[in-house]
Amino acid sequence: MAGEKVIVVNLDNCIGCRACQVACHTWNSTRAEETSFQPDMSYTNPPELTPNTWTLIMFKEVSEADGFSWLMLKRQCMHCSNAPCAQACPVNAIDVYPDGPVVIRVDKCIGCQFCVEACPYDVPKYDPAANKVYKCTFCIDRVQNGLEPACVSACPTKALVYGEYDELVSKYRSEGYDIYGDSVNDYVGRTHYVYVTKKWSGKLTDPGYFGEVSRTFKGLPKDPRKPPVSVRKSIVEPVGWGLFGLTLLGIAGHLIYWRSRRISEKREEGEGGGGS
Amino acid sequence: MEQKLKMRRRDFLKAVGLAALPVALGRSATRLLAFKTPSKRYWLGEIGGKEIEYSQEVRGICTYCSVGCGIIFYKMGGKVIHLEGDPDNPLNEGKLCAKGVASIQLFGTENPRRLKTPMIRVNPKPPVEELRKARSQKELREIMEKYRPVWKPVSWDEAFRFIAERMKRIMDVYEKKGEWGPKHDDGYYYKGKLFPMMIIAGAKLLNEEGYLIRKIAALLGSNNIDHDARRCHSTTVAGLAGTVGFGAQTQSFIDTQFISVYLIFGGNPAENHPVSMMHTLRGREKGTLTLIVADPKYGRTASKADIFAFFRPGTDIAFLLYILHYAFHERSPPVDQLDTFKEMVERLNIDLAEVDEIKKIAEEYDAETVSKITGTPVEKLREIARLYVENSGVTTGWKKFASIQWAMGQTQHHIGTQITRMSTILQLTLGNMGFPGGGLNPYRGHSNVQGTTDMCILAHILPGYIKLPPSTKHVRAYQEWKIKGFPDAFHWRPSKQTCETLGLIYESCDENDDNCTITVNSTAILWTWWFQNWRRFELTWGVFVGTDPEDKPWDPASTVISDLPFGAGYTENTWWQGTLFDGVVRAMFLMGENIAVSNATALSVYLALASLDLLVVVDIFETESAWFADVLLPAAFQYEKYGSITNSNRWLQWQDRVVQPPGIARADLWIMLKLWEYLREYKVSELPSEVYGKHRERVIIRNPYKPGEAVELYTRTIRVFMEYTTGRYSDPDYRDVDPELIYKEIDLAVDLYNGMYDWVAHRNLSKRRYNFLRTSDQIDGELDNTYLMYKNWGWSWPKNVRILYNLWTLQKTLGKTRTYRASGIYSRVKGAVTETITGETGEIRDPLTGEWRPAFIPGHNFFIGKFYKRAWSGMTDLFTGAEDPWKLLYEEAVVGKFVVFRPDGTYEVKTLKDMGVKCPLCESFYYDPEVVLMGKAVYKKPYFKGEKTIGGKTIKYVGWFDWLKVRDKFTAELESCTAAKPLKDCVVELKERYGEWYAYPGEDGKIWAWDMRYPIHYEPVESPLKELAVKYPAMAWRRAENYRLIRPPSGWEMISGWFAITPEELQKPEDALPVVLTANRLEEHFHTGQMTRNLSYLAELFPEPFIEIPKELAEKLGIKSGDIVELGSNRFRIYVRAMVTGRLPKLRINGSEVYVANIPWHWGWSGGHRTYAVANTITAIFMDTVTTMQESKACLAWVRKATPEDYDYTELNR
Repeated sequence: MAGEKVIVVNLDNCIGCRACQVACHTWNSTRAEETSFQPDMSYTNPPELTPNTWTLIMFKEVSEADGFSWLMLKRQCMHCSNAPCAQACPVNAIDVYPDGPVVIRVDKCIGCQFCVEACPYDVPKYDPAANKVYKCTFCIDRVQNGLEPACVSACPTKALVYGEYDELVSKYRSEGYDIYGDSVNDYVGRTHYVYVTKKWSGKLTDPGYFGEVSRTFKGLPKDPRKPPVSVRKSIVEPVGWGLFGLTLLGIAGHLIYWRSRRISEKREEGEGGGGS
Repeated sequence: MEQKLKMRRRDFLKAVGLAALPVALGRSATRLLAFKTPSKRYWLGEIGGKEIEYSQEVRGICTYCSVGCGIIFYKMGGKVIHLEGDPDNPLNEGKLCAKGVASIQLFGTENPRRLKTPMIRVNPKPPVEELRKARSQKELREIMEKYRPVWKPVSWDEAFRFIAERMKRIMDVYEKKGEWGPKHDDGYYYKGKLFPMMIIAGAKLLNEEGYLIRKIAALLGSNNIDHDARRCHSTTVAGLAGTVGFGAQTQSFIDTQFISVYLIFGGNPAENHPVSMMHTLRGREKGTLTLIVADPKYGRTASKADIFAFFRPGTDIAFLLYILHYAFHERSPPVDQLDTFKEMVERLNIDLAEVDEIKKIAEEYDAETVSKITGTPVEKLREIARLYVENSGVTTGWKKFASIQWAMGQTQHHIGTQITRMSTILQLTLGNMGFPGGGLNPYRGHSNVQGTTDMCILAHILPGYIKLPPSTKHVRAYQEWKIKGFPDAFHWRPSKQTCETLGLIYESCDENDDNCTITVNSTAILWTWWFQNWRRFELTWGVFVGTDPEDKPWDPASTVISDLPFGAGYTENTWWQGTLFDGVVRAMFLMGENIAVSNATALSVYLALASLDLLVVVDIFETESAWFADVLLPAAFQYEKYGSITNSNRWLQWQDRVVQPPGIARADLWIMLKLWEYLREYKVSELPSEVYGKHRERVIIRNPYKPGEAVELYTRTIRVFMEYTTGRYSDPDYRDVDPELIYKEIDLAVDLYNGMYDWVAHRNLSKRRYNFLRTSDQIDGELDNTYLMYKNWGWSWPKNVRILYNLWTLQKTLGKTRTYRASGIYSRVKGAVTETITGETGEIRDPLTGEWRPAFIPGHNFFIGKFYKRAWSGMTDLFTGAEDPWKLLYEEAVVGKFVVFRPDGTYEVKTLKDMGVKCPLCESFYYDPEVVLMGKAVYKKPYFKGEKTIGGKTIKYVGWFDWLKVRDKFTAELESCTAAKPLKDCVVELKERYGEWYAYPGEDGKIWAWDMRYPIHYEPVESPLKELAVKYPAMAWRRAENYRLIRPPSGWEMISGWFAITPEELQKPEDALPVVLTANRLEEHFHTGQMTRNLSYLAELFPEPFIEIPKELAEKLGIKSGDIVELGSNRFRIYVRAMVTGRLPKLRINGSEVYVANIPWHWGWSGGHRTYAVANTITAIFMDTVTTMQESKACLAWVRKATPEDYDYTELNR
């Protein structure tokens, strides 16, 4: 589609300096994390995306038969064309822009976390204090005003490249790069963050490489998918505005049920989940 | 050549903006469900609440590393709301690393830890007696917490009065008082090593500040001044300057993209110079650059390498000698048989006989031998050597170049100077020097460490690498040079006494033993260069160096007066001995450095700091060093200052003050000026010329044709110049001290930086921000637009040359030459010649025409800048004379008098107008082919020369071939001694027996000692294998300061036990295993951590201290990632987290297994994310034999599992 934008993550050029991680903080005025040493996560810190960390470099050491690799994988919202999060959102709080950005409207978000459930990349993060969900915005307030996203603007080795989707993807393809994102599956569609590499060609979705980078992030999935959330936007929408109030009630009911279930789940897994 | 699409920032914004307009567009093919096009439009900065569109822009340079990245600051009132990389700046093209982005948190409005007011300590300092017993983190913590500083805020005046009074008291009771004063039997001068205040001034200072503090120290009579360059690249500066002329990066960061094979050897640019990797990876992406990384650890740069090799810390020379071995002894034909090599040797003026000697040395270092030393597999060595040599200038007919990068990996060894020289010799031999894409790339650490090094905040030199006066005889020789008319070496006819004093080769003197004809060699040229620069100091500082009366320099009745202090002072690594052992250093003024965390064997520094009678710390945070201080003064950091900054590749760029520093904090420039004023008010030191009463200098020139006759050109006022109030600034600090005036002063006072101010257009060239490449008809235009030199961006020393030693590129790689038709002063002295230009010339303002003209013709070559000719030799003073500095600098007024002598003895005094001079301040230096090609690369550099007698034994320093005759006997004797005794005792035994180290009786009965003329492998002082420590003994013991570490003076015997020079001497618990310890920095942190641990955005990335240990070692010790481990050496023990990793090796060294561990050294006990686990308490301080650089990259330590109770990390940031 003409006008559609992409951010290319060229893994061969990423030196893991984390300028992107800091630039995301400074541009969006998000708080720094209270972190601690992360055992077995190489230089990754904080260990996961959070309501304040919308992008993160995940480091992973990989021993190979013929040597050794140190992978650095930038994580953030993938900005899916099919945005399952937006479809799951019962209050239309997630805007999907035709040129790519998928943006949570903080003013509209009710903290229901359906988007969290729907995201196969484990991206949106719930902030209990604010009762809101946060994630990367594609720097919508920059790109709409003619600037590159903050992470791209900072990236010193041009491992992040922002530009026209089709143009850039075909350029990297013609140069022989392996590409993840331009056509993923029916669940997410194509992503507006695209990973390219020559060095790890064919290994982008190999769990031995970019998989199992952290306890919850399992890498770039070949077929990202989540079980359907009970109330899907696709069902809600056709019902029309007349039934909106009723729907809200339904959501609220579900929410109560769902939250209690989720909290008990959390408690169960609580023991091992120390981290930060 | 890919021509970059040049787009100005605003055009770029417009273009992207148009494209990004969220017009209603059709849906993507893969989209299954329709999303309504959102109606929300965001304003710029809406999400983070930053009203960028209403802010004001200020430009500056990043304060962390030396790449020199441009930054645009967006401020509203006194608050910076955002910063971003400057897209116009060709060094960073708008990009920044994590530190640069996070640096917004350094501003006072963001950072509550910034110091805001001067403070005086009101409680006792940690006592030496207690610190003497501290041998672990826990013990240190107990003492320091007991004496945690309590501060009383005071005014600036109170603070300075406190300092000056205390200093005055120190001077009054100073035990060396008798030796200290300015009056001596042979004249009036200070001995620079005896001033009891050590000034340490960090590399965070701007050029003007670095210059001013060195000037102040010199005028206080002190050479006890040094800064962190000593501990970072002093060995690079010494190794390179001694070999090719200048100790600096020869290429630029941008130029690294043109390299064919880039060997990262002792650096980790992805970690420490992240933005430089943009240019390097550009070459790799194009497929023209192969990246090789050889390192004791696999770091972030290694992750991008095409080839990686582990090697053992401290074995760099062996590794590089193997590359030479391959080139000379394995390759067919050997490189020295190639026509390109022969052509190069002739053209670059390299001595073939010298090449033969290094060739012989390289013969010993075959792949098998080197593999045993380094631990790198033989095949890997071969692969790297082959790639490197076969992609070099001589083997590719100047089509491809291999280049080498390093930082602290090469420098921080007791033989650091030898290692950097080895790199230089390698590049010279393979024809990789002085080309785009080829050269030497020592990346420097701090934003302005190149500048502060050039300004010589150093104990042994003056601004611009100028020698200190060694003796009164040298001052007499200098006075004679003045009255000979300030000549260059080519026109110099010194007296016999001068020749003998300076070691000049002379013949035929006249009947008065005067007007000798000398051989113009490097000695003669360098002396005139140093003299010329002393004169610059005299004229711009308002001081005097010479004799009174002026006209009889060698007459014993004349008195020598020198306001420049004699002899080198203490360095940053030796000053603690000056305090503890020598009783000299009683006070310290510590600016912008945190030596309590950065000094190797940190305990030595704690003891010395605690012993001082006065410690003043000037900083932006309460550093660990401040815990020992009496006075703490709040400074401004780079973004809060005005001034010029020299990046690693020698480019000068200008920083504007973005906002005022917090509270009443002040710029360092102001603080140092006040220090001077208060010390002067309290008469802490007076200038020798003041004590003598020399207030005027008669500037006279002798008539060369009429002995006894001299012409007085003018008289000069001698009154120390420190007046910098111009009214240009209204800031509370800059209104007293105008940085632009000092900038101009530097241009005139420091030859190296001459040209950075344009005296014709009255422009500060460091402010130049024009990033269009030159066109072919402009000076160096062809090179500029082919190799992206950006010659109109800022200014670069020397004379805007961007690639050092670029004599030949135009001709050899571009196949072109240009002709220069002499004009201006050049045609006046050379006639109507046309010269052929073959390389990069740089540019210079012509004094006659005022026009720009090429400086170095036919191109820039070795030592050029230092080697010069002067059109006004014998005719006039520098700049045609200056009556007083203020008039010279502020009014740009000169005397403008010349005297023209005729062979018949008559003469005529002429004016500027008579001589047709438009720009006298441009001076008349020129660099013609004779000068340019006289510069010779020095393969052979004996660091010890001639003979000396110690205890009745005559020691003769010999070259390699002689040394070979006794070497095996020397090592055999050492070996047999070590069979029964520890190596340490054997070192003492042999050194006492022969009076020198690396010495053995030769065939003539004298003691022959290796003169270190070429690099060879020496083991690190703390070697992991005894057999290697004996076979390749460390060279440390040549230096008294090192010898004192194992033979300390009485009262300090304990220090000897701090060092384990073989594994047997390592005191290690049963359950610990030994490691070779190396130390490094992380991308997200900076040096002692104050500028990063105190920033929450960076601290979150690496909050806690850790050590990286190899997996296998961790398994043996039962250590898991995240466990607390104890790291110990004979010096200290600390507790940190373990990061168990495959990125550190187990090496096979000479048949034994050796583990390497790596510790980042950013943590200390003050500020955020604090801990008493200071990594440098563990490292060793054996010093480089030339520069006193510490060996902090290779020492012996041990590791074991520890319990969490010992770990004392706290965050305190929130």
